[in-house]
Amino acid sequence: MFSKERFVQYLFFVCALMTVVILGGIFIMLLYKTLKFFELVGLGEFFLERIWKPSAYSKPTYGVLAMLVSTLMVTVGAMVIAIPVGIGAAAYLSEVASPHVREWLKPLVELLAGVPSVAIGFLGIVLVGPFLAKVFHLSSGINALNGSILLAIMALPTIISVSEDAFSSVPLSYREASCALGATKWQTIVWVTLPAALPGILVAVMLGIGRAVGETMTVLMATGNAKAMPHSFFDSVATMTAVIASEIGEVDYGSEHYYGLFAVGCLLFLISLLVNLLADYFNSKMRRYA
Amino acid sequence: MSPTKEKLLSKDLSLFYGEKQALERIHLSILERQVTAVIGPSGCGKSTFLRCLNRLNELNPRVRIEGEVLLDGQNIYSKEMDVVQLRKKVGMVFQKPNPFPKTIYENIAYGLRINGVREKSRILEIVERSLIQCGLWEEVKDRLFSSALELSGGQQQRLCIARAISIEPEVLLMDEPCSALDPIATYRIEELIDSLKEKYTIVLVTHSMQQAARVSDYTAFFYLGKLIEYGPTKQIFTNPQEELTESYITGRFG
Repeated sequence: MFSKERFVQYLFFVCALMTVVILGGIFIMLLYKTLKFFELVGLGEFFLERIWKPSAYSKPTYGVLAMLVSTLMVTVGAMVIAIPVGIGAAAYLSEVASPHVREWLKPLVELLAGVPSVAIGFLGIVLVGPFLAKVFHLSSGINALNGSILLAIMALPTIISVSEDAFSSVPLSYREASCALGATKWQTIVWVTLPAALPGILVAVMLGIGRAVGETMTVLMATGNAKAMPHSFFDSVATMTAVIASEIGEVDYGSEHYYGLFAVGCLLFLISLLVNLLADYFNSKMRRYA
Repeated sequence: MSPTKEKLLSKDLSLFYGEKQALERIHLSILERQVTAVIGPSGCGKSTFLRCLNRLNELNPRVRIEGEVLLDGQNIYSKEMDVVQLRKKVGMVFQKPNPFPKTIYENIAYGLRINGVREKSRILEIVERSLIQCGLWEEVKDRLFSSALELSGGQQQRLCIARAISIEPEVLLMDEPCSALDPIATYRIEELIDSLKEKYTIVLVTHSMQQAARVSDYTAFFYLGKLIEYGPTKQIFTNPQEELTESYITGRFG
């Protein structure tokens, strides 16, 4: 007889299987359309041609380089801001703040994670853009730096809360040993707690990068969406996500252009897969030392 | 026994964890270059007392302390006392070996660097000397730059002792340093304690009465946060003055 126990087991198994099937489905769909694209347009053009110009009259070009560089630039810029600020905030929350301060600061950090990306995009247009234009004497502050700042804000909650966990999981005995040797709190954090928490902090950074690479709406709104090879952080850029989101709505189904956007998506998928695998690798390393 | 100088004096020392009182007006004098054992059943406050002597209890914000502890006549709880300086003079070895997740060399070099030793040659010299003093040099000299976490428990604990004495404290606090070790490792640590007392004033918290009897010169018996009896170890173990002490050392409770 088909017992109830057995039924529940299968039910949960199907739920778990679902995520795997969906992930596999996404990958196969991307791969299929990407391969179609490479039948029409060569791999060489995709990776060597700089500019994405699908609607050019004479000859459309499908180069991913400019938007790849844009994505990396905006992400690196975001991390340059978010990593020190995030680790600093995590160190403060875990090592310095009184329990009372921590109690109201932590929920605020988590609240920041819940702000919709569209709202952060508005912030970029209304506040960060004009600010950058004024400080650096630019005609417009809608550029890569603006995107970096916004993505930093969006990556911060992830970096802070995961790093804070890494700090708090460092055994108290390390801190005691350091203090007992006459180390100050600052020396203990920098030379003992931080190195011991490093694998966990690297996980935090990887998750932050993943968040920044995949973010679409804010960069679409605040970086200017210019499909040219950027030369500085003051140039307007169009990231891979922004190009896909802005063009997929008006493309002819089954055209080169249509399949091209999937190829961009596939590359993005591979990048974030790599970032996640790195995070996983650091995570396993952390467990070994704990 | 030649008369020795008083190194540490705890004067009416009381300690509270929140509302709960863990130490009640402890009055205890610790003599220079002697091993003073602190014994008593679990929860009697012996570790808590030890942590008052280098103000390590302050890492816990719920702890409140009354009374004084004098180190060479100076109150370590006074406003003028620099807690960092204090902990350089009063080193500590913990119950569970707690080397940093760094190399063997780096475990000792860290303490030296934060205490202002910068030259590499000098650091290497002190690392070697401290490891020799702790009888660990021969075992680790070929792998100074591998992780300290790969050492055995007993080796880790000797490394922790080497780390503590590398900065040449005056007092060494040991909080049940052998409780996580096997008998042979314990024996080596006890030998080490015996050799270290030539240079350092040692306060040893232990749950093992045999250990107190073997290595200490003076013994203090704590019970429920109070100091019940204090005297030369021989006297405490052969002719205790208090009935409670006698019951404890003869194994009637604990």
